[in-house]
Amino acid sequence: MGILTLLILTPLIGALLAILPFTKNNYAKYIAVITSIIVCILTFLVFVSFDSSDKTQQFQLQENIINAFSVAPLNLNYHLGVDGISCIMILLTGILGIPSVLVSWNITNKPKQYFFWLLILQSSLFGVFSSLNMLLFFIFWEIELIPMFFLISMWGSGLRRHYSAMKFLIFTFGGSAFILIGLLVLAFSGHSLDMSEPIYKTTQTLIPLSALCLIFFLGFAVKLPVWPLHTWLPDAHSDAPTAGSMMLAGILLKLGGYGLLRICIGLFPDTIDTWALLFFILGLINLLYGAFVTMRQTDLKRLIAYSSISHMGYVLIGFSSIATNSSIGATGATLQMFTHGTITGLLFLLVGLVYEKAKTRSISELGGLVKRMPRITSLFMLAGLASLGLPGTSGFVSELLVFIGAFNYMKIGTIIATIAIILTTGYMLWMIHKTMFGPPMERFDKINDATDRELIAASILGIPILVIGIYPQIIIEYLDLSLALF
Amino acid sequence: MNTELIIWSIFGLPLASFIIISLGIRGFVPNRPLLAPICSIGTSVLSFILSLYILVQYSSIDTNISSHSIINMSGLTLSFGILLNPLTVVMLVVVTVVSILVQFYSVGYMRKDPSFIRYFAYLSLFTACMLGIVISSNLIQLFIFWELVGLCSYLLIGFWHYKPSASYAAKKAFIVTRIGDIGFLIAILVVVSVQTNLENSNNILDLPNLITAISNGVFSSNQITIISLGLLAGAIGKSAQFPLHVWLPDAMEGPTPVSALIHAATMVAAGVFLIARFFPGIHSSIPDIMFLIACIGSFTALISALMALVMNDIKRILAYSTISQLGFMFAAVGFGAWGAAIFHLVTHAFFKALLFLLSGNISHGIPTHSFDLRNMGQLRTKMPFTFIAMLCGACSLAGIFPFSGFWSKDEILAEALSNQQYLIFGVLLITTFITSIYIFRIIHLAFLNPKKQMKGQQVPEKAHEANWIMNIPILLLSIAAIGIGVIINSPIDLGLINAHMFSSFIGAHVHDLNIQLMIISTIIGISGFIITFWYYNYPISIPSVLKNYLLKINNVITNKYYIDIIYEKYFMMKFIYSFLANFLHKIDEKLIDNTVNQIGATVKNSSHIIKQIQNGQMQVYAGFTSIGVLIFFVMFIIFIR
Repeated sequence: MGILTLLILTPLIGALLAILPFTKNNYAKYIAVITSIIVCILTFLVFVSFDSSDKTQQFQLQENIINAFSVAPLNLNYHLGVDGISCIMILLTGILGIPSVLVSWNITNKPKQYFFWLLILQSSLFGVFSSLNMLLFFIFWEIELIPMFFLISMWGSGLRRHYSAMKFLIFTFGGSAFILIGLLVLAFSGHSLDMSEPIYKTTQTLIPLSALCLIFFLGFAVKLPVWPLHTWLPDAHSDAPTAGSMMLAGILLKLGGYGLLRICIGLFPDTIDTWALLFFILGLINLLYGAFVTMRQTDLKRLIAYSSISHMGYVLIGFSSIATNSSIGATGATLQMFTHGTITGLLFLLVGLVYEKAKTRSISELGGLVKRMPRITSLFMLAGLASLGLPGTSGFVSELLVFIGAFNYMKIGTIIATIAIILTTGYMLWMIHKTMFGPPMERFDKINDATDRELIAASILGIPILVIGIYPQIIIEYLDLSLALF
Repeated sequence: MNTELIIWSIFGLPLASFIIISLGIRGFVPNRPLLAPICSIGTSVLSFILSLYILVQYSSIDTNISSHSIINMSGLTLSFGILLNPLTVVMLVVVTVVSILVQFYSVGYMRKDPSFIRYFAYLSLFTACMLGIVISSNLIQLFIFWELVGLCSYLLIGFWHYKPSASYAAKKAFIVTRIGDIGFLIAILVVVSVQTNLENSNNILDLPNLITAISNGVFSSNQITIISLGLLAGAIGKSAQFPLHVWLPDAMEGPTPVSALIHAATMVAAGVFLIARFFPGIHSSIPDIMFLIACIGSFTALISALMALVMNDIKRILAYSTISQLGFMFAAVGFGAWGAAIFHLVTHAFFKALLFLLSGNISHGIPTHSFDLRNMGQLRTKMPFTFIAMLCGACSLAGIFPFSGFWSKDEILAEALSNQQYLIFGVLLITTFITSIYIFRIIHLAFLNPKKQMKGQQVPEKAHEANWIMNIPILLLSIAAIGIGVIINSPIDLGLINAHMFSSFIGAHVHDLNIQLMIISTIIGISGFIITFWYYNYPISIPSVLKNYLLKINNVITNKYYIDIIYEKYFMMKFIYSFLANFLHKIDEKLIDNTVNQIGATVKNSSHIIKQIQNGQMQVYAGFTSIGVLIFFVMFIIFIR
């Protein structure tokens, strides 16, 4: 059994243990945290033992275990493997696992089910990132919706949580429909569903390759999300529990970017020239539109949700620069997926803590929290500064690489995109200052700072931000060769 | 000793101090706050000694230092290295000296502050990042430290974060300087885009290579223009030149020693340093931009000196004075006298640090703890030491012979004359005159006994001198304000001291002695003192017509030419926030989200309608079945026949 299968199975086993009838409610969280730690160690093992000088898929495992379901063109292979890109996405999933369990410590409403779904979510994410068979990829892709739906609708915090969960589900199912169409077209064109084999222009397909690429793009665009398909995101975030928001912003959005990279660009390398301009313009809209709308938000979670939309613009812009035959922009974009996962994960974690302690997320009601919450403030500052791309944090490296890549593709557009730096600085500082600084307020006199457990959870996300910011090569090494292939 | 190791330690020691203080001392021994200044001052002193060693040994050390890559990918290599030249060495010494003195002063000034430890952690980081800028050999490396210096000044300006004004000023400083940094970033992007298309492996991101590449015509003239304008924008933001000068006066919300550091050796010095490092090498390719720099510099010098004239807050006056003096330096670089600019940067670092620390002394010593000149008067009797030191600083700023400011300012003026920049020379000369008036206005209002100000204001009886910890740095800075100019760059041989030591060390143009100009500028400097003295002691009656005009002008200047209001109220609040952001927010809410909900509602409603059909009544189903059969039958007849 390969290490990748182990990665998918471990959270699954943990999930089953957590929901067993004789497991006590209190034990569920311990099972979850132990499982997450094991999983995190496993992801580190994958990361460390991955040979970044080898550009092929590694830890490959291929079995036709489900032959019964392999109807003629649809060959469902249990085919796993990772390259540099999936390797760091797996690492990101592993890193986010522990904090998301740790911040859910005080869940009292059906904790067994809660941790069950959280672990199932992890399992399916590992599946998505390590599948090399497109049907398998699609199955995991769909499975991951179920836990997220329940996390939002059952443990959400807002009054509109059922609406938001439904919205999330319908939007992403809509996106999945496009992926399914693309998959069927591909299968009925007689192409194998192996994701590691690019399809070139000479291949015959039922519909033109560039149209096929666009169909897939529509599917992934919902997830990323690309303007104007983004409105599910702020609602889903503001109503999800803290861990849900962390997973949603930290990894689920990156599924969109990952899919784009792996399928739209990786599978159809010839079509990027056709669609690069579209990617760039949509990315630019995401970036600036998202930033402007973020400025008007009054709820902490919605603000960060909209800032995520803005930051995902960098991913699209970076991918578009592959058309210049340089992998710098795409490396930046992929790095942005990783860093944004940690940064926004941390931001949501901290906002969750503030909400839990101060009982409000409305920015106008908060203020002067630093007096009672020095720990949370320091970490908030770190995450905020990383989010606005300050050198020394990982956010800077990814943004710089994206800009460098994009500048070769379109100069004026990139210069326009740099405006986003100012806007991000503006809203991030405004948010931090409004909530944390200013004269201390009387009604917050009794609230407590982050506990040690919460501090550890936050540090797990904070450390990669600094490490990558200071020595980015550690991740770039993994991406360089894999992306240079495109 | 290994030069590379020494330079990295000069930078690394304060950085290590930051880490030790913020993680070690703050985490484990928070009840021993004095460990923090010991750690930060100790490392700064070590850095200073090492810098001195480099300065003394400069002629005999190897300046070729290898660099280390932190990003190494296909198409891009980013390496950190050291660019060691005389400019670097001078800056290393100045930055370390000023930061030692400021940190020492801070021990006295901040000792009752509850966040004493955090304060010294920030100061160490600030020093480290500024040293990082100074040693950077690579454009991106320089940008990284450039931004980090911005971060540190943001943290220190907003140090008292519970004060809304401080929090606001910090935010303003960070955002305004970042607007300039966009230019810097674009310049980097242009350089990298050329680099990726370049055949040879010469890394033009390295500053010396970049300058050579520009002279060798690797770049097109458009690219050169964008690069230099971009870097200029960055420097304008950092050095608070028009139109990005608005952040610096508000930056005085931070603790006073921080202002001294920002205004003297770090932050604002970075902008001048950047243009002095980059532009002299390429000035022949961009004559228009060089002239633009000179114009921006002299214009800023004039308008900010006028603002300094009408303010009532000592720190605010000094802040505008800094902007004005930086304008001198910009102008000097603009017309080719970058050596004079750096010389002025050095002398200015000392006397401006002195003046700021003295303003701290005053506010520390008077009962109201304010910086408002209207609350002061007659402090001469209560604070004689501060008064004498203030006079040294003032004379130096006003450029009176033989104080250090005189030599550097005079050199800028002389260079302007010899380069035939008469307009700029005239503007700078007028500015010198205004400078002298505003600085002696402080002396009069605070220390002497201006009769005009005595109505209803009581003389602070309880005013007292500061303690010795604060006075030692002031003493040292006063000595520097008196003598450093003539010591390091005397225009004639003085036995022990060689003529033009500084200019020849940094390899700048050495100008001839211009006795007439020296006399004129000293007279102008002293005349400011006389006019102020006359004005406050023998008030003259101004005709009411003229007075009305003067009041109007005064009103415009007091409102900072309405620049701040235009930026903040009209551009930021009205245009960006209320118009653009609000518009897009409405689109998001009303158009996109509403469309989504409408689609959902339509589907739901139509399903409600269709649902009616499935009502379980046999006759309805039978009816539909018959209609269906009928339709099929009709179609069959039409199409098959």
